Amino acid sequence: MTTNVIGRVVMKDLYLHRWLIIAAVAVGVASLLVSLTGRMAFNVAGVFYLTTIIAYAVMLVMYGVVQERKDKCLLFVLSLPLSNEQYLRAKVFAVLAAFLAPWTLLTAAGVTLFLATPIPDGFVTFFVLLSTFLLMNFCLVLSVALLTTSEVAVSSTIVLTNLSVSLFFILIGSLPSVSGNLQNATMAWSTDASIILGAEIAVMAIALTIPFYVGRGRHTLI
Amino acid sequence: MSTQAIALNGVSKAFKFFKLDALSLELAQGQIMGLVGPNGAGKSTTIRILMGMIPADAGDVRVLGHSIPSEQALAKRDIGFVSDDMRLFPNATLDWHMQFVASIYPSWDVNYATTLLKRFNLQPAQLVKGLSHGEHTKALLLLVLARRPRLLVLDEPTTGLDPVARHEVLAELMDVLQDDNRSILFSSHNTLDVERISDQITFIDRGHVVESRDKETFLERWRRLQIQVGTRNNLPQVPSVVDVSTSGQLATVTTNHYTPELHRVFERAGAVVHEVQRMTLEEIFVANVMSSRRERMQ
Repeated sequence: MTTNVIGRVVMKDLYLHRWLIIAAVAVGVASLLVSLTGRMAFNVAGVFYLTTIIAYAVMLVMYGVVQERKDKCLLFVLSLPLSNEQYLRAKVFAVLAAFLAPWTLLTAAGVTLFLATPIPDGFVTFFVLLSTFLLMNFCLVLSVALLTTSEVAVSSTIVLTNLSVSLFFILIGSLPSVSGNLQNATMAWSTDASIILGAEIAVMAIALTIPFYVGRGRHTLI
Repeated sequence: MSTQAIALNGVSKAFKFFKLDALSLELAQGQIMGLVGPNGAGKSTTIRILMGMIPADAGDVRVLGHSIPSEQALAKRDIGFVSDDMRLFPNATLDWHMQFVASIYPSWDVNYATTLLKRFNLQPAQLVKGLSHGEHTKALLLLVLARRPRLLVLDEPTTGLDPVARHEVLAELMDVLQDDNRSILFSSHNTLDVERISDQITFIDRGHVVESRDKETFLERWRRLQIQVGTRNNLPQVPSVVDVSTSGQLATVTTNHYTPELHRVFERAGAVVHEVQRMTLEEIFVANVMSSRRERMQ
């Protein structure tokens, strides 16, 4: 029965966020299509695309975790036959799935776009690292939202993760093994790129694991 | 199988400005307990601990034979919990909530849910954000009652309801009480509601259980006596007297263990008992809490 309940709670979240998921996919795909129409359009669409992913991540965590707690809908969910740990598992899975669905689709569409159009394939490495960085930021915000009932802490994490996107651009710019290949006709994957991707995945794993360790202790979700 | 629906033993929980202190209470299966206390007494904290939502710092909690919080998922299969601050998802319909709950609980009774929809005059297609406070409370009760849980835990369910909605909710609960196997823990600061449906009453104040007994014992034991005395000193010290207030030569004595013998005790001291008044549950509650506070301050 417990697996069934977790599954139902996950489906509940996906149902409640369905319009947000559809909107994120629609705006993301539109941005990618617009990017094909010219160099200026490519830059503008890039900003739109980035904004869509960042805004979607923030809205998903705010509506899916913070607002659920603030509106006291969490009391209703916690009255279901779930332990606190099972609730956390369901919530992480649901919100992650709601983010990964558009993220995977848009990342795959972006890579396909670079490979299938005259846009230099050298952009693919940067695009994959940037997309994974945004996924990592989403995991960090989700983790903090599950760990604390403080809206200040969640808001601060959102601000810091958004600022870190600029730092990510500076980091990439300082790495010739990545930034030097942007205009190349073929994609090049360097050791630096592997290190950055590995670090991003490690941070994601830690961010998503911490709430479960804390959840086993005396942590209160309400 | 345990005969206790709820058993809390020495449960403590400390917050920055409040402490639930070694709280113990038991609710037998098939019984209805009213948990009465002023705002901030610890009613909701107690209930959230027994629901596994807040871990206790110390003590033992068992609900329907399951240890809480470790077995809360098992226990909550048979618990229906409604709280005055619990909210359904505002952008989903009541029908969606009914399907959601029905998909989780095999015990969901479609016919009873339909009956409750009509009785509460609720529209299943309506979005939750369009429901009034009374309708929202009735929707929560519907979602809980149609599952036919063995234990109902209701945390101030009638708070903020207009008299008609309150009547409808209480009437439905009275119907539910026909089932002898169902236990109910009902918290409120509205003693009229509690008096109407409870078998047992537990008074709680500032994190302590003040007194816990069956309702009839409370109503039979507590009395207010109007006594004529020369001076207050004429009144003998009686252990069951919890409060004495004087106005001139008249004294009002409140006792928590009234017996006719009490008349003779006062009369032997030269006082005349003019009148013995029964007390309402609200009066008993206030007198009990005030007496408990005085004792703790000494």
